[in-house]
Amino acid sequence: MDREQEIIHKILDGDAEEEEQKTLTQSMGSDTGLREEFTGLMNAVRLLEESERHDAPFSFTAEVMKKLPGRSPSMLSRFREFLFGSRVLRWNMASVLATAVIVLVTIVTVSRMPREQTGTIASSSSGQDENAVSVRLTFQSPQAQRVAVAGDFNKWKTDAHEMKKSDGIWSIDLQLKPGIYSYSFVVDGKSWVPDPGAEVFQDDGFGSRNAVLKVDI
Amino acid sequence: MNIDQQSGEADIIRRCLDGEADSYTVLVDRYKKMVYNVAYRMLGDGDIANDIAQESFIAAYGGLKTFKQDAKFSSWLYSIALNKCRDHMRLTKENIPIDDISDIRPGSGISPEQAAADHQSNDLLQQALNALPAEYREVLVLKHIEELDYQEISAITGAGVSALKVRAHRGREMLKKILERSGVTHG
Repeated sequence: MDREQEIIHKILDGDAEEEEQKTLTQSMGSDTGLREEFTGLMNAVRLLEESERHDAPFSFTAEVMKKLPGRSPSMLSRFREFLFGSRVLRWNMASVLATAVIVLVTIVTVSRMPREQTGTIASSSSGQDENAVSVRLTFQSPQAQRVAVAGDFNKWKTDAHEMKKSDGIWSIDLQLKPGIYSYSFVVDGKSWVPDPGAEVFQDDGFGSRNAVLKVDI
Repeated sequence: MNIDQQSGEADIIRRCLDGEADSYTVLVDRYKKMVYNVAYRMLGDGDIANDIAQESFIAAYGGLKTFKQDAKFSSWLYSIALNKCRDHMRLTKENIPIDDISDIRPGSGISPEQAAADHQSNDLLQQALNALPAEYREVLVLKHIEELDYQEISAITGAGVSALKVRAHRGREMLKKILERSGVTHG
């Protein structure tokens, strides 16, 4: 590749410096062959640049879309389709009758179940009642305005079992299942007093004591 | 292509990957002329170009998950289309050797200006392009018909810029000779 030809192609590539273009112009002035070479190449490039750009057939896009391979949709799309996608339900009389029988049997079964379950629960509940033992707790405190008992049996709630006062003695009857319970009296909502009549006590972990009650069958 | 268009295309591609195939219509409509024209210029036959262009779009759709989002979709598509064209040429015919061009119809001394203006020139140009080796034809089509710069052509073809310039140089020289033989005279 000689120098002038190199410059010609740099011009055609749009890379030529101004100085190079001047050099080529000077050379072409005295060299007819070089001038023809330059003109021929320029014409070829111009023919390319001005050539018709062919457009795709009218149905091109539709054809492409029709031929796209089936893609497995993403998990999200499948989940969305599962939730919101519309479905066509095909049916026949046999299927309808079978479904009707299943629905009827299910309704009858379900309508019976709650009654049976309620009976069981009631029986269990009454069983609990049958196992429960009535225990009377008493506490003498004529000055107190209000006394309640709190313990394991009521999750230490201070207002679950209010005691009743009679002649300066507070009392309550509890239905407790057999077991061992810790408890204390709560006087006027603020003072915790272990039952003075209890036979057994245990530390409550906070520097005080609770009474211990053993309930036998 | 501006940034908005590129980000829009990224969104379209994401939707395609989520299974919304209909979104792909936008990309096909946008680039069908580009892909078809390249295939036409590379292969010289409208029906074959149509098949190859369709195959290119279908292959691109199938490979969307491998498309790098920071790349230019049109460049990627060019690359797929050119590969399809090369495959087709390998399977069907060899290039016509430059010294054995006998089927190019002689012209009647028309100038490039006249020639470019009518279908005859397009026929002559296409026949001349068909006679070029594929790698020369490729770079001339991308550089002078599609008007891409060498950097983009390099990204599309995988060839270095220097190698592409050499191919363009040789391709132009060959094209000039073919056109001269076929009667397209100097302006």
